[in-house]
Amino acid sequence: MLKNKFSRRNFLKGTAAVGAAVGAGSLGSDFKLSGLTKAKADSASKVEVFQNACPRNCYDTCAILTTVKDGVVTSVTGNPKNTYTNGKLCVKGHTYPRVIYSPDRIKYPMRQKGRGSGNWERISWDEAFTEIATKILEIKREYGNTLPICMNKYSGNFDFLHYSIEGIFSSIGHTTRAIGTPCWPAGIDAQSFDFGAIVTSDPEQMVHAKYLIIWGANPAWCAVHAMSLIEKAQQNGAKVVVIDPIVTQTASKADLYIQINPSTDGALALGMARYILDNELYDVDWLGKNSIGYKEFFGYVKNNITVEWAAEKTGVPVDIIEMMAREYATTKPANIWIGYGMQRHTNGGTNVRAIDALAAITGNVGILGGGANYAQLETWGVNYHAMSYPAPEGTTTTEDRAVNMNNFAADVLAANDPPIKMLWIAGRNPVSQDPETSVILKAFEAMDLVVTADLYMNPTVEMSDIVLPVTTPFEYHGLNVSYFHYWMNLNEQAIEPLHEAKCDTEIAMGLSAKLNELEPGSCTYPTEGDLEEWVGREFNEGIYEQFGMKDWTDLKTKGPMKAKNCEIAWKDLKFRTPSGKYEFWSETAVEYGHHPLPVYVEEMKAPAEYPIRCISSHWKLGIHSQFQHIDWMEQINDKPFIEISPLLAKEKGIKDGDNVKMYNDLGYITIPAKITDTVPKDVVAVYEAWYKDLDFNVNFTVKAIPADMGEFQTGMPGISFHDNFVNIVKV
Amino acid sequence: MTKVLDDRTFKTNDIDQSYQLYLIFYLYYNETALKWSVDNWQEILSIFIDYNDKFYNRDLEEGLTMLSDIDHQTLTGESFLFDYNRLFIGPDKLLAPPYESSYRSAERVLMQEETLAVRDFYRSVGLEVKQKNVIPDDHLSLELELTCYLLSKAIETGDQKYYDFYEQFFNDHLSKWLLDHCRDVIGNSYHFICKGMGKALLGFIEKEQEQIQLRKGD
Repeated sequence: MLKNKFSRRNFLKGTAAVGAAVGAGSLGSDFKLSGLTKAKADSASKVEVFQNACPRNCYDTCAILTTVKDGVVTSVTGNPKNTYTNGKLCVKGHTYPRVIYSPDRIKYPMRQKGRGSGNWERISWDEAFTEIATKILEIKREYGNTLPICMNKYSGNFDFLHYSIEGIFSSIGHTTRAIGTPCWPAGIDAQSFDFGAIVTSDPEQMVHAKYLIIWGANPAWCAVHAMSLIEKAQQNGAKVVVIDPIVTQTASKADLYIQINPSTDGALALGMARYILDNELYDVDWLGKNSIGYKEFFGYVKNNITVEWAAEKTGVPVDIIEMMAREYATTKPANIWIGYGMQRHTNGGTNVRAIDALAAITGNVGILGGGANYAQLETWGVNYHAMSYPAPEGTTTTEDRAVNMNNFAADVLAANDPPIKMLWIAGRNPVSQDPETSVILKAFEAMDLVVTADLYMNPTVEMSDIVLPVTTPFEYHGLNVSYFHYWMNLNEQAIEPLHEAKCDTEIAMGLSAKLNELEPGSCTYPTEGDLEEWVGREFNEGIYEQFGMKDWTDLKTKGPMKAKNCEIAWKDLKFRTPSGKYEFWSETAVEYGHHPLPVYVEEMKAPAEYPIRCISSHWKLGIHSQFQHIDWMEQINDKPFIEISPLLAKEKGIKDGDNVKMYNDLGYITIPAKITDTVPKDVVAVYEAWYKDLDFNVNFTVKAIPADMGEFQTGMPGISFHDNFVNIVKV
Repeated sequence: MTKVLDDRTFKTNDIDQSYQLYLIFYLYYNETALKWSVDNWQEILSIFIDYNDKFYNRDLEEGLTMLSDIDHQTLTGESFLFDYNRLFIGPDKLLAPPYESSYRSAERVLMQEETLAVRDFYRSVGLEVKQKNVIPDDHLSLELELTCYLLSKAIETGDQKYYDFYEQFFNDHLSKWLLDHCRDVIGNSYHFICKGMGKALLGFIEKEQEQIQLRKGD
């Protein structure tokens, strides 16, 4: 019993002892404030409005106006000055106050005792930097260089100052880098073979199109601001065609919806080209002046492609193909929006080339409201000052070592001489987002140290040794552009960083300071800096001219600014190919192992045991593993599901709501069925997302099958995410 | 002119003892308790026992029974620390978030009306959070710090107004969420220290609620 265990003490003496032991003062008097302090006289509520930018991997990259009262964000809204954002944010953008102020945000640096154990202790930033720096220096001593350190960063945050993550790694020596991109490289290469570079027309000019094909993109979910542009085009008389294996929300707004067999987009484009060729609907003058290889291309089409063949391949009837071809070729201007989803196949790149060819043969390149539009990096020509620090003196290596981001885990495990021993992960969640999850986990096991910088707990943080708390865009200065529209958005620091969060740039500075403290000269990264000043350093004459800026501070006074002369891609018809012309025939393509022409490459076929294709498109309530797990979002939807056609469901005896196991030789997931006509018979749809506390990840079944293209411009081929063959069974 | 607290409101044994318990919980929630030795815990326990002897509460006693198992072994392992962090610190979703607004705001967001109401209260007594807008004003360690400040001032100066502020803060803030918070601690903790402290705080708040009424007198 209590009373027997401890002697009763005089409470006065007891309190004094507690006071003495814990330094809090004795009875009554001398209570010392520590977290609280006397209020300042001028503590009146101040209301301010700041400009912020959403730095996510999203077409729309919104300009945000943030209202801050007494240092607290009270609301966010879209900035109307950016006419693409047009004053509105998407549902994800509206969760930002929650993202900033959730009690579940990672607040302090913490260390896990045993990866995956859930046993975390809090450490100070100094302890974190010391442990990390000590490990880096130890690796350098043991191996003679820093190649055993691998950085995996991708699209979690596209703010320009976040290139400090690459920067800190360059400044310690040469390291192993995950290169390539899972998203869009096949299409980038395709457009680079054809045009010389990816340059989309300003998407706001879509309103001028009279024929608009949205091919393998779902803006209603993934580029929501474009929907009002599409609607405007329709109001202006445009016919909108959506081509997609799945009846998406975007498809529901189309004038004509084409449910194409997955991965056969090239066949449809070539079938249309055959019709255009036969009916002389091509612009021979344009082709003669501005392209090379069109005759060879026509020769290929005449000898290898028929509309009947295309109909058989794609599942689109002959008369529809012919109608589309005629309408597309004869309506001016005609615009094709090529989505990223459609190029995530083994023949994705060559399919994009065929679609580009349609635009080129019909004279739709270089005209207002026309084009074969995919993406742009034209507005990304800043100085990358945050990234540009050299290896320190005494570095014995000469260059970074590359591993394939699209085959990351296998490459990490295979690396030797030296092996990879340390991982730094920022702006990425490989345990959720990479294919072949079990291999990722094996790769982590082989590491001595895994450090992840992130906002919230996620499967990658779960398997890390140290987690570092980072800031939201509202808590740092930065700068953002889009890979689709042509606006530049300033990101002003609206509030103080919460708890002990630091922006990745400050983390770089802190790590550099610690490295230099332990071993002077071991890191060239600055150890301090004013982030607002760093934003200014990104600007150069090229950017000033492109945006019509006198000084970067124009962005503060004028708000977001748009690049000049972006309305029409390739308006001057000066292509960036080796010939300077549009290249149907591309020698560069040959260099990379492809046919020189945009030919049809057979789509991947389903193996006998796994006859069903799983398409894992992007989800409307999240961007990869961001947003869906926020509890506000989970109130809207908190479960993944598998969409199955009624025909397939009947065959398998599956009813709506039944638990279904979707599996292949790699892995499986078990989720409830949603029976819907929006998917074709032999295709199931499982949207890629990460849900808090659910053992769900469609990537358990996704193999790292390379797409055909991507190596030319991004160093590695892309991933054929949508060539995932599975089977399903009711459980 | 300061009004001197009369005997009914200001009974040394009563407010002093409440103050001591608040002090203990304050040190617990500002992570100082994570460094306490077995000796420190013994002292803490004896203060709790004295309080419970005078102001018996079943939850409090159950908590103290759990805490009486603390020995050297308990504090050499790290399981107490890990459980404490899971409940209050992170990095995963907090099992018992130590913020008033996570219990009182409809959508569990910090730094909205509920936090700002606490900020206003601090201001009304001439105080503010040192790391304003960096640490949410309604973190339990700060609310307990305010409580200790007010009670220590009441005891030190004998001025009624400090006690009145305390009573208002208890009624408008502490009592509105601490019971739910403690139930989360009790329900979600593994380690007996965390659970024991959860029960002790629950019991203490329940008791203090009664004491506040009693102090108003008849």
